[in-house]
Amino acid sequence: MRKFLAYFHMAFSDALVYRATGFIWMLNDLGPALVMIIFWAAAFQTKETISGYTLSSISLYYFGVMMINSLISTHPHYFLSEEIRSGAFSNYLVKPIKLAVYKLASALSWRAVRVIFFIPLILILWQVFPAQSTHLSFSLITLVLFIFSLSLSLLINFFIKMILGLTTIWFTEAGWLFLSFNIIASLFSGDMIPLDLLPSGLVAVNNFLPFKYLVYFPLSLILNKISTAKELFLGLTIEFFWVIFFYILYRLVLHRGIKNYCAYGG
Amino acid sequence: MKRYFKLYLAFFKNCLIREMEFRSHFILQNFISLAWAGVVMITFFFIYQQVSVVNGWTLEMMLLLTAIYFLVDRIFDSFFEINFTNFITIVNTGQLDLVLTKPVSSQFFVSLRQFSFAMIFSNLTMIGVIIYLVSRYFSPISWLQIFTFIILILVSVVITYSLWFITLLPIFWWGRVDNMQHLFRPFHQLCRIPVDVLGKLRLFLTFIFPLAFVATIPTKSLINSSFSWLVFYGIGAAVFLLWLSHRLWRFSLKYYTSASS
Repeated sequence: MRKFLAYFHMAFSDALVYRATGFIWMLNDLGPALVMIIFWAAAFQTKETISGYTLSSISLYYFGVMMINSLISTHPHYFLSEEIRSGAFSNYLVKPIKLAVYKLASALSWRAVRVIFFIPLILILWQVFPAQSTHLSFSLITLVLFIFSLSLSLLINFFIKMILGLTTIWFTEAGWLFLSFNIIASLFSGDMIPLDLLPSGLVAVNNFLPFKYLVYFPLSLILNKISTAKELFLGLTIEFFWVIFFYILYRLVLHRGIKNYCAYGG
Repeated sequence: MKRYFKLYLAFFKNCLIREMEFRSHFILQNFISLAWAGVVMITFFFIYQQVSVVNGWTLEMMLLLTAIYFLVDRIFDSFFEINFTNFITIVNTGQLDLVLTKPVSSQFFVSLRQFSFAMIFSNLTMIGVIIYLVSRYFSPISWLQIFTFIILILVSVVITYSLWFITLLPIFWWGRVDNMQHLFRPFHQLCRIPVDVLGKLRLFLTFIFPLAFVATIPTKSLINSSFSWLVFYGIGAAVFLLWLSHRLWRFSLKYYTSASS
């Protein structure tokens, strides 16, 4: 824990220096969801409700997507990939540092700095778009479950990205893999549209895939879209399973990867 | 002019040879850039399962808009995207010195030095999708419409290039911002939806900050058979923005401090 805080502190000052960089990345994270809200707003001009959503509930959904994309999902893979190519990855092997702990601390510190921009920006957008807070009524227990589910999705996302980053050891250039993941995830995580708009067959399969638990599942918790206790329990169990799964897979890939790693340029 | 053309041909050949060395990468990149367009189209397909028309835009129109958006986007990517990424690096490392001493326009050199073949399939497929959608849902169309459409695609590429290039220039003052090339992207994504759904912003985005010309107006030129005088405004706007990007480039260069050595 002490180490974690030290890494966090270090990266935090780094993130403060690169404020503008963080701001531009945040705009890029918000962009797609904002475009979708605008389009939906036009779609709701002729209809009151569309498959159970009203304009304000769907706006609220996309505000949730924006929050997850800018504060919860991390992207350690790009830099990790660069470090593997340049040989800087060796640093993690010779120093008494746990790679995942270090990367998680630095990713979270960048997110922490982001909160500073995110809150004023989201408050402005909240005024512009009709996502009234009246639709956001939840009990304390839902809030606790939401935060729990959100932290699990943070971990799933983090370990997937770490695994993707580590594949650079074998592929040297793994950008195509990162992009492929983004494309599939953007459709199946609920990033682009709420998943209940997909055909029911697809939804049924998607319940067991990890993507849904990155975005849609935590959001459906806070938006009161989960009605039965069974559904809730099943969802949280599957989510928890994926955290464990990707953690073990990460350990395995790291272990194999270190044996294959060639430390170029070192 | 002829000199620039010959120079560009040399750049082009040079990049083709490079690209062919990494063939598997080339094929993968092509496939992935195509998949993106596919995902956006699927999204609209699912949305239109719930509604039949949005502000006068039907599913077929939206698919056409998406195909045109991605066509322009991929043309932009092929010609400019890598160069814009490199541009940030060469300003920060001081390698821009080398470019400035060359006997060609420096803006030409930094914008067009590399050509990316990674989007070729994607471009051809988008053209295919556009032809299919038009012949299936929006035919017959006249030769005049096809001609206007091609002009508007050129206008769209020039406007995208000029606006995007202008957003790179603050790098001369804020060298630390190493992702400046992504500043324009969220604004560009706004072109994925028709400007008609933007309400009050529509006129602003047509005449002042002409993002409407990126995809909406080219799409409309294929949908509506009546000729729109907006084409001339678009040509004017493209020429003006290109000129403006050049003036601002000249101005910004005065603040170049040549980072290293």
